[in-house]
Amino acid sequence: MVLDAVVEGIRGIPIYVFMFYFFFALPGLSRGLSLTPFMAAAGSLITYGTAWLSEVVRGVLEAVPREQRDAAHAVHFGRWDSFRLVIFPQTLPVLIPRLSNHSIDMLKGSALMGFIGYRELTFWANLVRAQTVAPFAPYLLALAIYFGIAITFSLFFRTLEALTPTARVERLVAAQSSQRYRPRVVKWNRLSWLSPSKQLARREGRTAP
Amino acid sequence: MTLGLMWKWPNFFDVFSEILPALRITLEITILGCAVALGAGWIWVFLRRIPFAPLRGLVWLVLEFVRDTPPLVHVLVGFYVLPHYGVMLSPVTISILVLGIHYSAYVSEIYRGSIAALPVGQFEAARVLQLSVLRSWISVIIPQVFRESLPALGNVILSLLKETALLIAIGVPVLMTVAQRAGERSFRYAEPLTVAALLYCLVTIPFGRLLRWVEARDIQRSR
Repeated sequence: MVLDAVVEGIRGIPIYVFMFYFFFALPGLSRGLSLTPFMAAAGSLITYGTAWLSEVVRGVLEAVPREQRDAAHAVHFGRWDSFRLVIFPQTLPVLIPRLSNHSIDMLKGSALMGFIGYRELTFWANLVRAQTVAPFAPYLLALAIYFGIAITFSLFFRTLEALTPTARVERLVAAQSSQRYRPRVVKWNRLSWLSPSKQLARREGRTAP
Repeated sequence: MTLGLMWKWPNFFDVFSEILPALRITLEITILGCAVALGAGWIWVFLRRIPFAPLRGLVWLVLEFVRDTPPLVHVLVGFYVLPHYGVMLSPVTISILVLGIHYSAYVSEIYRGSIAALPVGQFEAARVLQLSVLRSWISVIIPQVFRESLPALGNVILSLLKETALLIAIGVPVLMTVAQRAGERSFRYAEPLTVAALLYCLVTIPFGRLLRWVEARDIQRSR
């Protein structure tokens, strides 16, 4: 109960509030326990990230059907084995994309750390912008670097996803079935804006009624 | 450093009455930003359906770029770089546009998911009824997609509300900024930051509960 409330509260507060709280308010509240900017930045990311991920993991675990647990019990798996061999592998196809999004959220959240004195990318971009006459270049570079890091993260998680048992099974099935499933794609052409009867009339060369 | 001052309730109530009015502008930015996001989300959806693959790829790249880079840097670009090229916008306008566009990328993903989840029969039925493409989108597809994606859109709205805290960077008087200023003035940060956190919770927790209720009701109905 209490933990639920704490997690809900943490998830309801912006990460930036934590950051400022750890850096500015904690020394006053704790009579002189002061954190370095890095500790405050990391602490806020960890606090916020764990609360967020705990919700994600809980949702993913609850999404596994109850029968799976029963089936694992029926073939005499213990708690640990049923989690390791039955439940956990099934959560991965949903969990890994969430983790990927989460890692990028953390990356974006780190951008404000310059305001508590931790010299990260945006801080330097801001500094260079303040000292030069061409304001766009430093931000553009910062954006490019952020984008590069984010793409690296998502490639990493994409690779991880391809290694899961689910993905392996899917690849096997795809290789064995002769016909690939192709979803029907509604394609547009320059007549699409007309009603079907008018389209037909145009195609046949008649003028629309 | 003589910051070792403990919690003081009188100060708490003083700062509370100072910070409370900032809730209004926070909510205004949130609501207008959401309007931008919900509208621009559809633009992304249609751009991603352009029947020319290279252009579609470009749109995807831009979408990923908007989604994966920090909104803080976008805000700074709007605030410091655009005036350099003759575009003068007020900080509030910049924040609405930037947050709106940033979250429109998320919203477009949600729309896309809902469209993919629609039965193909919906498109076919619209065609059978002799509706033009524009008509079938407006009166058949879009309303269903909206209803389908309501809980997910609610989560995006919550994120947007929380993300308004970064507007401290350009001095928009949202909750976070006002709290930080109150702290800087008196060197007592604990009370104003707590007030800000409480006020954020005051909005986000009931809204989150409401969303979960809507979601649970939808699941029950679909059974």
